[in-house]
Amino acid sequence: MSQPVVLQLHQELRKCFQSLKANQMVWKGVLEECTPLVSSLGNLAEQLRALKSVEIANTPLSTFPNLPERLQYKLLNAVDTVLGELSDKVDALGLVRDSVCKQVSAVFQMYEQNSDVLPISTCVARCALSPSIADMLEWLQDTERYYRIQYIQRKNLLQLLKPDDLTLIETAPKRWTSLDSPREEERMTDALLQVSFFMESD
Amino acid sequence: MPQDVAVLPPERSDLGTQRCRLGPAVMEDLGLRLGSPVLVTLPGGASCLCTAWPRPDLADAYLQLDLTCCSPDLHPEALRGLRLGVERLRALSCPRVKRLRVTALVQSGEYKRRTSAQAVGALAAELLTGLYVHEKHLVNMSHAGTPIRFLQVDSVNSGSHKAGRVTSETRLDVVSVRTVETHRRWACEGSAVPLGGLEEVRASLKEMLTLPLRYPISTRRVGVAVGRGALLVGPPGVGKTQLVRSVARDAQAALVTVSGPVVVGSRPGESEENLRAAFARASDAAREEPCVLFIDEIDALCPKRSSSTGAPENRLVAQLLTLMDGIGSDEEFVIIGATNRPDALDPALRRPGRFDREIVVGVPTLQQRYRVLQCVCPGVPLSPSVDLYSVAEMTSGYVGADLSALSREAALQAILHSTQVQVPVPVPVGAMPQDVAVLPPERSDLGTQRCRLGPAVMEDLGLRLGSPVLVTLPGGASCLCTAWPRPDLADAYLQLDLTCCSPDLHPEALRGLRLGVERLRALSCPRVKRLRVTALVQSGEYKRRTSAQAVGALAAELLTGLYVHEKHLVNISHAGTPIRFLQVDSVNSGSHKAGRVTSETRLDVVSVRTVETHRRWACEGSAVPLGGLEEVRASLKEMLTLPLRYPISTRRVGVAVGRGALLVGPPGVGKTQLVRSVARDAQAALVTVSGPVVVGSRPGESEENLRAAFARASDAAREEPCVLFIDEIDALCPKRSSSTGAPENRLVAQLLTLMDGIGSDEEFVIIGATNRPDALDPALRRPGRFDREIVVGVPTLQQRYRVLQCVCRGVPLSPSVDLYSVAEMTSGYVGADLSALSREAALQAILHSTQGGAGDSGQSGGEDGKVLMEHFVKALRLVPPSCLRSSVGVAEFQPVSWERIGGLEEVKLKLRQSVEWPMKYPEAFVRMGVCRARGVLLYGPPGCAKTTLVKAAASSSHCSFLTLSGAELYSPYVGDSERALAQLFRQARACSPSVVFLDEIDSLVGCRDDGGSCRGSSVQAQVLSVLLNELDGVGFKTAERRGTGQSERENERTRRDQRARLAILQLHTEKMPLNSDVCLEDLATRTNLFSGADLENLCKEAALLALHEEGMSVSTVHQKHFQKARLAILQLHTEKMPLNSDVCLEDLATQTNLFSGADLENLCKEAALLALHEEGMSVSTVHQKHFQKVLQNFQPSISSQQLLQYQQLFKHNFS
Repeated sequence: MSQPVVLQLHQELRKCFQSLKANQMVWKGVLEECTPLVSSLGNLAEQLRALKSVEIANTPLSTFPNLPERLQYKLLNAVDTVLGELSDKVDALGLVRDSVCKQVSAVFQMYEQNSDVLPISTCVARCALSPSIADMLEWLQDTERYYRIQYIQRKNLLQLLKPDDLTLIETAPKRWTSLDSPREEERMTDALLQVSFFMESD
Repeated sequence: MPQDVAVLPPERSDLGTQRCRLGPAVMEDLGLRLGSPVLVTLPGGASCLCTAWPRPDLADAYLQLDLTCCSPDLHPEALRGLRLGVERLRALSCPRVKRLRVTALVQSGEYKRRTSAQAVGALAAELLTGLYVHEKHLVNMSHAGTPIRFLQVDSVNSGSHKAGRVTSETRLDVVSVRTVETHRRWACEGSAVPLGGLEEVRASLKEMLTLPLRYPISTRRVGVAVGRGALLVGPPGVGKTQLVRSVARDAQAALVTVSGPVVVGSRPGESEENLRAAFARASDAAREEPCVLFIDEIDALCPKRSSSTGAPENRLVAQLLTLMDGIGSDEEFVIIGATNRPDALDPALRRPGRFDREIVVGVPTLQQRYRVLQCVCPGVPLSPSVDLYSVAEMTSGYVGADLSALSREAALQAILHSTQVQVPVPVPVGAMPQDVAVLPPERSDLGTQRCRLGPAVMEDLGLRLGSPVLVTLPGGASCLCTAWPRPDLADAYLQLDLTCCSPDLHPEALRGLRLGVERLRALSCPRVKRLRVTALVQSGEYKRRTSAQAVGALAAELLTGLYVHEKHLVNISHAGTPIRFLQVDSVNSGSHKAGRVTSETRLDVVSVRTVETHRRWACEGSAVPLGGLEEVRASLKEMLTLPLRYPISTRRVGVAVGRGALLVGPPGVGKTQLVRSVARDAQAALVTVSGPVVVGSRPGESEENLRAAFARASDAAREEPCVLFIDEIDALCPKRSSSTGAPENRLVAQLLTLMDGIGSDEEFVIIGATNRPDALDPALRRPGRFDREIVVGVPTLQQRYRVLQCVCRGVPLSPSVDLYSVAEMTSGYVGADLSALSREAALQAILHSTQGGAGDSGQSGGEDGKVLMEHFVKALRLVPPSCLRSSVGVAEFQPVSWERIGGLEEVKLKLRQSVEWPMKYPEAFVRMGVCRARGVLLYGPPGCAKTTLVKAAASSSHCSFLTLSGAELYSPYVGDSERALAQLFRQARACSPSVVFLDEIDSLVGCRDDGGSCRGSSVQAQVLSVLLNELDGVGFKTAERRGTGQSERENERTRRDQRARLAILQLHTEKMPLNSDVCLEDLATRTNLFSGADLENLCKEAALLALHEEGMSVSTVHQKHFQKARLAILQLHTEKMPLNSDVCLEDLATQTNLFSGADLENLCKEAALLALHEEGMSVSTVHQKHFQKVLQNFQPSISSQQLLQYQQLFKHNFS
């Protein structure tokens, strides 16, 4: 009866999980590249703060003309560069998200097209080798949502950063790391582990 | 084989194993195998289910029981030293349990809140596996060390078996999760002492508590807000506390007890803190279950503010008031206060809206004592010779506590046998075959918009994975989700994620709810092409800094992939962005109800608001409509809206923004409601400061709090117009001269400077509300601080009618109810009283229909669920007007009809004319130009029904009736008597129309010129002067109506007018000793000029001049002058009166020798009244015969002798 459809859907799911695994690696890599950038952003903010509080006229450096202005210009330039690089990274995260979204929505579309021949009882049937279709679709949806929200949050954080608001830049590294959600990551990894048999049982 | 066995305590190693150690012979005898279940029944009826195991020492005479699964009434102590007959052990056949319903008792409320019922169920199933369970038994799980301590078995295999064995295949339903504490309380309250003789009071209290608590839906349907409080009044020992306990148990409500003296702390501010903590505790408990907050000895907590000594007491009272006002109607907790000194309580506490009902628990009567004795004696083994009725007869004056002590004393050996009272709990909703229990969603599902269903239900509804489903709740709220199967595939549960739901859906409403499957509906959701949303952001700062476009882009990303429904609120706060909620205004320009947002959807952000603003608007949207306050409201609104909404035009006309308004009025007229509603209309933010919350314990803390409140208002004013509302401002700003300490003075000064500091560029307005304006510091009441003082008076008949229309809007009224006649009956009722009245009437109706036994106890809105007139009449008896609770001269009296007084027809007529007519036929009075009588002096020999006449007058006119006698008035303290008198008049004005009855007035105020021994310093003279002043302002035995706005101004005018005329009277009484001639001359001149009393001086000068010119022999000339003067006075008074052509004023003037101006005024009035009486109400003119008739029995108020005396005095003074 619906066996060919189930097989077809299983095939699609396998493909999707495969790409999900790849995308997870990419995502992790990009985030790791971001870490030094974010911390250097924090450093720059600290330097800017120090520059603001120091009275250069009272130091031996006062002989250099326009030193504070020059220093500030330099630092702000550096901040701009780092922010630019970071936004490139976030765009890369966006690409990961887009690819995941595309894959997942393709699976869902397939399910929706065939859902007339897939009764719920079939969808929730589990066996030793493969989790149920419902479970897998759920994991996919969770993962997609996770990437989407992560992307929004990180992008939003970057957008809120303005070079003139020092406190925001100073707290940026802390807030960046607080966006990491190890629990969700773990759930994704769990899901991938649970489907590992299924992926290999081609 | 032994016939009975001794019960020993179980071995430590057997604890929790459910083993029952028996001798092998006994086992054989009973046909028991190793581990087969055996039911042990104890003499009291308690039982215990165990598995039989042989004793290691194989002794047959002993029995060791492990009480893992036993009935709740089995106490381990009862087993000590017990010997059991072997016949009490019974082998039980225990099949495998397929389905088990249990109640889990957990250790802490926190665990209960944090853990889903499903997780509890899984844990319980693991704990129970392998055990034998018995219906109604309590399984002790505490040895396992999990948060679940006990499991109470509700039914085994849906009731088809009594006992069984739980296996891993058993399907376990956790019906409810409770804390052990709650359970223990219920259980031990179940064995509380039954109350005898308090049935009526208890029914009254119970009805008030249980109806809103147990039938929230039907009470909401009849539009009744939950009654907030009840005050129990009664002598000590009548059982007030017991009553509250028992009622709370019946209502299955938690009971939080606060006793007055415990709250009061030594540090300033500590008491208020304790009180707030108690309320927070109650509110916490109310989140779990219905809750009753019981304040014992409330008089210690809340003494009269006027009589209390210090500011701390006042602050505490004000704190209690604001806390009671702060109970939202969504919090299901009820406050009950108990006191035995109700008159020591602050009157503001006793108005409806705070303590809605006052329930008097009196000393029991004979019948009640009998029932109390019956109740306290069931545990006592009485011999047949004891006749409880005769004991009751002998114990008159004994209260419940006395009687219980009596029975205790009488039966020293008796053991009070606690009887378990099982109260049948009505099940509100009949169980449907196809319904699912709503459980809280899993953490991992939060924000996913998933709705977890069983696969069978999904199949049934034709739902696919992830297809949208609309869940409609009983209240009409709905939630849009996507359907997903539950991981455990159970069909009986539903878990909703409330990401997209209608704004009126409260997560609390879902707790323990069972939904019919028909409430789930698959929805077709096309892709949304165009979406209009309102974004609710966290902070005003983000709103200012971010462009609407950026907000739109973020919102679009957040919404992508979600299903949205028109008018729903999408919760996206889990994403952690500044946008917290998105309210969907329209989907595809309104052509669709719901749809799926994709990345192609075009999103328009209509407006961006802060969450706070939105929440305020939303909750104000459901504010109570205000009736009868239109004028005051318009006045306030005009003041607020003009500068707030049209800043430019007001600036153009050069008007500085009015900074503040002070609302003054008796408690319960709706001052707070008014401000809320006006702020909502003006779309202004409302920052509320309540006096007592501001006050802190550290020096300077109070000022800091106040500054913070102003800063908050000023912050809010940057976003939108803002109103800073200071409730109970009298607690914050007492008179600096009278307050004791420097801290109060500093606080007042801080408030003043803060109010001065509002720049005119900041758009915020301060409104203060108080019911004791005279307690405020005068510096606060000048323009520039509080520019306007708006008096919110007691509503008039018309206003009451409109208030009733408003408060009865949600109440299903039967056509027989005539609100207008209800309004007529409720003179002196304020808004809160009227709303309490309607609530009470609706409760009566519910009670009526539930008792009527139509079968369905939860239903009240059926064919006989309408509120009838009789319910209103019943409610009228229960709700007295709040201004008459705890006031000085309140007298309870039976209504007396005019027919009950024989004879005295003429007197009755006079009283009717002066009291009843002005209220019944105001239009006739206006036509005839008569102003109503202000006072009536009844005099006569003792026993000729003077008092009864007054009562009849009061009851026939439906006036409030205040009485004061000399004995109540005089007190040893200086100034007390005067204050009491002034207060009486103030109260009379507050609950107008009212009749003030000064009994034995001669003892109150003597004659000041008695024997010339008048001393200005005597108390009597001072009281007299107060009385005269008050009469001057109002009129004694007044039927004055105070309106508001326009009518208020009109009233002011008539009063001023009247004051001018009464100045004549004053001149008579006060200036007379100087010169009576002057007075009469004065009147004559005054009438010519038609001006007020301010010309008095001029007239006096003129009169003196005349006297000088004519010398001292002026009597003949005077007569002429007087006649002319009288004529002029008559002309003045009849100016507004339609006179017949046959009236000859000149004639009258000659006939009224020696009449003073006031006498003449009275003459005209009487003539007009006579005309009204004789010719009927439709008369149009006054005839000469009326004047003549009146003149016949009219005496001038000054005799010629007195006049002579004055003239002599005058000669003395001037010679």
